[in-house]
Amino acid sequence: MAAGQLESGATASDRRRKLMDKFMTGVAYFFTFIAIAVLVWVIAYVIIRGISVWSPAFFTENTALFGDGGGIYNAMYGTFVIVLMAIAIGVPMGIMAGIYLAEFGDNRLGDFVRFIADTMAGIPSIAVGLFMYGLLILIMGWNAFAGACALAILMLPVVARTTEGIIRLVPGEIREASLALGLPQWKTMLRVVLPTAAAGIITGAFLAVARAAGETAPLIFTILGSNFFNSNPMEGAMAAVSLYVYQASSSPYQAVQEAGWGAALVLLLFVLGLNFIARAIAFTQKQN
Amino acid sequence: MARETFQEELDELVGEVLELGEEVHGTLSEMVSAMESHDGSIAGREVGVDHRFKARGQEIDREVLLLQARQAPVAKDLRLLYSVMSLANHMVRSGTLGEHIYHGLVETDGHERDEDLDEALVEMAKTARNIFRQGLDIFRSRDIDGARSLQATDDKVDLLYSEALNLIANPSESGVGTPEWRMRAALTVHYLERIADHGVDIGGLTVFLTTGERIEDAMQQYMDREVRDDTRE
Amino acid sequence: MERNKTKEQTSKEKATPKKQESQTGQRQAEAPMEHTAQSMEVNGLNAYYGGFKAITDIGMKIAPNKVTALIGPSGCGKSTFIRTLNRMHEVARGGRVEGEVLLDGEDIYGKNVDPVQVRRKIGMVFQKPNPFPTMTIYDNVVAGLKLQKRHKKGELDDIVEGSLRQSALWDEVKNKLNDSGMSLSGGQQQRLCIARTLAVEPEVILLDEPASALDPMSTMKIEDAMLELKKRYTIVIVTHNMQQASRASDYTGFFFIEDMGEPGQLWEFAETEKIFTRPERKETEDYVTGRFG
Repeated sequence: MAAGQLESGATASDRRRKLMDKFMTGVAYFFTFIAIAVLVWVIAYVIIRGISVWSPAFFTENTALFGDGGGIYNAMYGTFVIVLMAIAIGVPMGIMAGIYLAEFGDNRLGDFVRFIADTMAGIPSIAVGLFMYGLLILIMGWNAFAGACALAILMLPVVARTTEGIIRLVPGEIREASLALGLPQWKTMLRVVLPTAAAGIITGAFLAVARAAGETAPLIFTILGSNFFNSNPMEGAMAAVSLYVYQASSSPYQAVQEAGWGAALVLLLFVLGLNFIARAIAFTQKQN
Repeated sequence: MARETFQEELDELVGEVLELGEEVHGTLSEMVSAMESHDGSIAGREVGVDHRFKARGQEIDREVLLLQARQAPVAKDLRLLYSVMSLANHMVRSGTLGEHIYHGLVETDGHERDEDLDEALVEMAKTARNIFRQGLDIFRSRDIDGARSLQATDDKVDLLYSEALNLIANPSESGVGTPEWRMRAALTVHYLERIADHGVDIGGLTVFLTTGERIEDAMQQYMDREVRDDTRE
Repeated sequence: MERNKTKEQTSKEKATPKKQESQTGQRQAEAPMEHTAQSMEVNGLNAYYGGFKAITDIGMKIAPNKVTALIGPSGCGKSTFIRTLNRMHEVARGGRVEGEVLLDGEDIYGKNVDPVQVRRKIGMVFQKPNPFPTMTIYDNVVAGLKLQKRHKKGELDDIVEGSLRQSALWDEVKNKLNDSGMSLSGGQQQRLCIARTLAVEPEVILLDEPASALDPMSTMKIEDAMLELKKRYTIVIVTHNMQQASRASDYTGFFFIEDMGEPGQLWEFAETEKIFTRPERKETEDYVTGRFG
């Protein structure tokens, strides 16, 4: 009996179609595999090269650019302080800007601000570093604060645009419901819209931070780097993990290069960790 | 046009009920002939005709019910269904009354009659048939003015009715007729008055269908206004 | 809104759910007593979106403690109109209103009138249920109160119960008041929104196609709730469901547009009985009998 009219494989064109389906699916899987493989390769490589350097001493000693390598204690402190300051400077401003764009930005000024923000996001980070050098370092000398400012500039447009995006995603019905209850516009924004958008805003901030934390170029001309522990962010050069990786890699000493790999691993895990937390926040919010 | 099928079903339904009306009218015409000619055989043919009418009436009722359930009619559609149901009822009743009259004719075929009374009966029968006819035509053509004047004709029927009752109570010198004939005559007078009433109501339904007003209410308002005018003078 | 302030004080004396120890010591929400709500009147109302006139010369009297339904084909201005009744129209881009809308004799578009105050007296329920996603059921109900000023914890319990009872949702959620507002079904969410509107104790409740996104069972529950609610409130409902208008309303207004691009008008306004048995205008009859188009 011939195949029923609904059965697959009934005609030659059916079989060709199925073959094409399988082929394209295979191609998609293949390229996905490649992409994942590259990522896994990078991570694995850094782990392999860096994990051997890890030791208690590694995390408690200061950096060294010669001799037996040393640790990254001062660098971790530096990264921590600088990133924290950058967050304090850049994130609130970015969120405010995002709120402005979402609520009052449907006009020429808003478009202009958006244009500026997008441009800012594209400025090479080294140029930002140089800018900070000219603005602050020449007056204050090397300091970590300028580095934090540079990072804040990098974070600002990203935070602003993601905040705007998230707030725009809050359904208009929620706003309407609040207004219809007799709540004024500002309370609606503060107590209804923002809490609804909170998770998204935080996620956006985390992602911006993750990006900035790994930046090296803007730090070169601001914090300079140091092999000593400096607790004062406003004065004096400071070390940072990302900067140390760069500096260590150009050192002729084998041990220092190894230390560089260890630092790179720390940095990688830090940034991956931030990304992971950001996604987790978004995920739990979606669950609700 | 939207709801074309529904409109068609409504039109069909109206057609059916008017057809029923024509048949009932046919029976009434035959009744007049039988009464005029005193021919019992005509009457004999028509006996049992109301079975058919009742069956058709029930069919129409059922269709109305179904349309109501399925189509959720409002406004003029609702009034139409309501009118159709009322119409069918009037027609079936008229048919049944006609049947009763036939029965009487058959029973008293050949009996002695009171000529004056008989004349009056024939006149009443003609009037009743005509009113029924008019009511039917008025509904078919949705003639509101006709309905109003038909309402006034009711008075004429009441007059004939009184006259006939008078003749029944006070027999003339032309002859009394057999007791049974007399009894049948009295009943027939009543039936004919009812048939005329149904005819008038059929006309009145036209007004309800078209304007949503009950013709009695409209007439009453008109009467009240007249009275008020009079008292003002 | 001076006069309304006094009314607010007196209306507080009406049996809104207040703390009341019953014989058994349980705190029960008092069953809402009847209350003569305020009436509304609209005169010469035009509404615009920027330069475009959406509705023109609307005049109607909205009777207190009655349900007034607004029907009409899509795009004829019913939603625009109902939003002018609580000054939500002006929230939209370019929203502008001419004419007057009186709440108990006072023009809500008067010179010194605060739209925020207006919206506390005239509440609104929307087509798509919109509970606040980050709040629990409890918090949703009292959002209008909590966000206005501070309340002590226990104060609000009675209001929550009372409002949820009035919107026929209490029995279904009384054991899960701390669940998220979004955990409810569509019909329940809508009744939650109604409860939220009731908690603010308005005089008038506007409903913009409240059941159009819901299943028939939920629709019925909401209609039944409205029949109870009208004992205390004045209700205006926009609906495209004719049967709902004929079932649930006392008065019906039919909106109509003569031509594309023309502003919508109030074509006919009468008791619901009349509109559905013998409407006066042909367009009204064509619409309710489904002969449009």
